[in-house]
Amino acid sequence: MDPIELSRIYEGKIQVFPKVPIREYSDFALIYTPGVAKVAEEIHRNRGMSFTLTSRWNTIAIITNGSRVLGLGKIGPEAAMPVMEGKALLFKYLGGVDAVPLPIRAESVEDFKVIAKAIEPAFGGINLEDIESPLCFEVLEELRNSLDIPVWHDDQLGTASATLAGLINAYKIAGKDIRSSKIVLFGAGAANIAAANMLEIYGFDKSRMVIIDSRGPLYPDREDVDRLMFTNRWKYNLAVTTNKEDCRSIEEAFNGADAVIAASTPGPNTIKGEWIERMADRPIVFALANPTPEIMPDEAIRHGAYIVATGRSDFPNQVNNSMVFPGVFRGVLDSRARFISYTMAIAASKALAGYAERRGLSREYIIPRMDEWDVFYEVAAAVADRAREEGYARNPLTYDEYLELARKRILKTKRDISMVNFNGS
Amino acid sequence: MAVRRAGKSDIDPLTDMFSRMYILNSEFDPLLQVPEDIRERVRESLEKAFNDERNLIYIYEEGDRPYAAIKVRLDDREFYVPQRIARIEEFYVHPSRRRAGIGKYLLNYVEDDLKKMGVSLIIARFPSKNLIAVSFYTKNGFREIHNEFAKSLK
Repeated sequence: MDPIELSRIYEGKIQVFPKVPIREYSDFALIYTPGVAKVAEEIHRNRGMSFTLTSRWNTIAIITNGSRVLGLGKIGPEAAMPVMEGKALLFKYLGGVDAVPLPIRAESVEDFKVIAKAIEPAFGGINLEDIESPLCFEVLEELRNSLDIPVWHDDQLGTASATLAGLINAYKIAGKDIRSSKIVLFGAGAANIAAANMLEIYGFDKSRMVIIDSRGPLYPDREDVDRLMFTNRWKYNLAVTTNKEDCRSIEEAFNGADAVIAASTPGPNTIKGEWIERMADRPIVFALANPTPEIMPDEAIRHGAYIVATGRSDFPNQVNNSMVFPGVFRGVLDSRARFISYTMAIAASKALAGYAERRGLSREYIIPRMDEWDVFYEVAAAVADRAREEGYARNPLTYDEYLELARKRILKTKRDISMVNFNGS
Repeated sequence: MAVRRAGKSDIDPLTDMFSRMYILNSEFDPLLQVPEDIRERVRESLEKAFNDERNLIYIYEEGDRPYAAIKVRLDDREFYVPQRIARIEEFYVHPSRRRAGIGKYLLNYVEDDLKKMGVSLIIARFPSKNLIAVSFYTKNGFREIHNEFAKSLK
């Protein structure tokens, strides 16, 4: 079916649906005034009760300003809405999370901060989506520091977590050592900048990473690095802390590299086969651009790639943030976490990697597939458990309790959805 | 850490560093645009500077690679006291060596030298939108005493 036709028939993708039944006339007074006043008073006495007595505990906002939507660029908040609605549907379907699409008119960090602070009382978390770089780094940093609910930017953290999950297993299969490995990060957008930082926290050596942007490898001597200090300090930080080898050309960067993580421009010939040939034994190639990978898997393998992952579900090894965000939010909501740390995101990566390992790793199976539903419970429990360990959980339970809670809530959502009459309006 | 007075043999790295500084300055305001031949101009200016003892140029290096440099010029103010001042005209720290206190170290070294020469005031001039420079100089005890406003007449 044509996607426009679909949107026309259903007139959007989500709606608000009541949880409490109206069975008789007197129920109105219970649900709304005057009965509801008691609930309001209760929360007034203890604001934390808003997580218990209202739907806040399970509700997040998907915030975007429409400045970098998919590969479409700056299309504005109205045009970003169908994407956010689709995301909200995935949040519900995969994670049992009620996500409210909230495309906003915001240009600056200050705009985002004012709006996010203003809406914080209604939500248990915030997912930032499709915001241009480097604004997205500033917004994430600012909101993480100023809100008392977890804030996540899926294009950074979600993709980075999925990447790390895939890498953990790819390194196992290829028999490579993480500490001493050389990694090329091809593309210096939100996903790869977050990946570089997350990989470092996990244990990769930053000085052995080489970041490549549209002008080639980043190195401290590069002419535009001074400017980056002011225009994109995240990229600047990487420019001065990576590439100890001082690679100046793409060829040098690929020489002896163990893995390449490409999150750049759609292929198929963004990455050349001959570059793969320059890599170390059993090279790992993640070509994550959508819709077309930077290099097609068969082409990469022809040039010696040992393990190939893409962002697509029609090839083996799909490294995609959809494996991460439903479980991460299920986990932070179930633990009522105040914050999502990098180490909580890494816990999600480890849970994904561990699940695939139990199922049996192979060159074509380094990360769970989207239809392996039960992995989301494990991701949720791992994230919640880590939140408790780090002291961010307002609802501290055990790992097993979190696992059971996530399973129960996600399965209930699936049951609820199965009962909906999908006949359009 | 090694700081020393620069000599004519340092012109290549100095040209590179100071050109980078001017190119960076051009980011802050259209009225600070640099010409195409900025590198040649910086080189020429340095060549002259070495023949004029009112210019003091210092280099910070590790091994034999320079990573930072500063050029100050001794000047006399006509209508204010103290009359004898030093003006920081160029100052650059290589990106790979920033946030490590090297700028401060180099500045302190120069200040000590200036004090020995009897100079009691040091002045820095930089684009007002360079907030990192504002913060650096403020932390190092400088304060704002002049404003430079510009207006294009085009």
